[in-house]
Amino acid sequence: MRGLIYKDFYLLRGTILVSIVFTSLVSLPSIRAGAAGVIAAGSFIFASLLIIGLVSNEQGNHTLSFQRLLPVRSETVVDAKFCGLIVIVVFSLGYGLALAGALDLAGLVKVTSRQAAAGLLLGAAITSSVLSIYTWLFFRLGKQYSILIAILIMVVFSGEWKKLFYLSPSTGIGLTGAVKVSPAWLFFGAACFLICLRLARRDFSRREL
Amino acid sequence: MVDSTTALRLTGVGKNYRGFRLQDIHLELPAGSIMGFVGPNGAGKTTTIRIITNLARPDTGTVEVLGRCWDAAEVWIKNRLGYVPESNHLYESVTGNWLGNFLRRYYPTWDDAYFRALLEKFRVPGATMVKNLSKGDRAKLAVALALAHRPRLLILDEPTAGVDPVVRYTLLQELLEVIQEETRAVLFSTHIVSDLERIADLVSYIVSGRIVLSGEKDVILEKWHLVSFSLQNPAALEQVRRLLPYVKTRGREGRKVEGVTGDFSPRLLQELVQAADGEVNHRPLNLEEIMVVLTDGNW
Repeated sequence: MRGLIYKDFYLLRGTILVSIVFTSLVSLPSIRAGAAGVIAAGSFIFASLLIIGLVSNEQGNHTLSFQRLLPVRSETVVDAKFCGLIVIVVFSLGYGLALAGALDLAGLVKVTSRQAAAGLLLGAAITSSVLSIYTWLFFRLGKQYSILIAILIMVVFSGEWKKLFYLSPSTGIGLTGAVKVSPAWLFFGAACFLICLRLARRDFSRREL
Repeated sequence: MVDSTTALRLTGVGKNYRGFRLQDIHLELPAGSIMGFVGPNGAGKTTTIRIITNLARPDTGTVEVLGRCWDAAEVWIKNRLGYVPESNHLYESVTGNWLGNFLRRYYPTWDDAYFRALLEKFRVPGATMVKNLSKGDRAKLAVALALAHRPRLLILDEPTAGVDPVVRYTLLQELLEVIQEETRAVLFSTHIVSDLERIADLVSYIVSGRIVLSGEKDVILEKWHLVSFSLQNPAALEQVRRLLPYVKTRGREGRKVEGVTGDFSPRLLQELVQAADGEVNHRPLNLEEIMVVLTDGNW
């Protein structure tokens, strides 16, 4: 399985820098939501770009059948992709924290431990839940449908994203910063991850390629 | 119980798609044999191969690869199976050498020296990105990757598709040398039947989702003949139709007869002579002509 994870990141090598630059630009408006908003938005956007890049590599080259014929169980291919997702989430949270730190140095936001914790928890929860669903749908339906459904999720919940990432309520610290730091967020992300992993394992071994 | 003498066995395999139906496919490929799997585009070759490789599930029937079923021995089968798909599904932004190193981790029987030797033999630059390789080189790389773990069953699905005739010829020459070197079983799917004439031990023809002819190549070539003659009288046509499954008539009153039989024998010739006005000409058909007869609705 390590080989499959390594392969995914090796194939992503060309897109990481572009993703960092793009995410930095797109995340700037979330300054209004404070450091927590920057961390959550930055990590979510960055992780989304990496996952889409990872999935595009498979879809564009029609390599899922190549992987299905490797002498490992079909479920192992799914497990590797979800392990890669964990690495991407961790990496993205680190990136989000670094971005907030850079903005702090520039005097644009103030990173407090409370805001950092809120941003990391929220970023982990949103990133792992949305991208787990996306990855499961990719294994079930392919890239086109999974992107369509991901866009649908974005549109349907657009008001919520704006509140979480960008809008600065009257408190002045941003809604994201005001979210109560709770391990329930992590529990929600982890539950989504495990459910989607289970569904993806089942669907991929049944899927016809 | 593992049957080591049969590399591949399909029994009553069927699959329904909207607008296409694979029906009652029976195939048996003994270990060490090369089977040509022949049919026009859209006949069901790739669907059958997808079922053999477990990329699609049959609606009916069973598939045994090297004596085992996929559900019970998925990894065991994959370790012993080599597959070259019609369009090479390879990562574009890596080199052939990188792909070799990647696959080496997974196959216990991977022979890296053999892989390098194949790249050298095929003159494929292993350090070049896949996206910069020609179609012919990609096809050769896919074959080298499929062979380097020395599979006991090799499945080639139109490996020469999409390459120009000159490259196809050299690719085929090199491919044939390699796949005949060892005692592995090979299922070679193609619609270019001349590719198979020299190498196949067995041939199976698939048309519209059905196996219409299957057997030893030499026997097929010996038994399938084209006969032509003039009828003594038009009434003799009925007798001729009973003797020949494929008959065309032309000329005045339809007296000139051209027919094909898949069971040519001196006795059949004798019976045709009795219905003929003069000499009965006959010649064996090649594999391509047989495919035309089997697929052409005019026969």
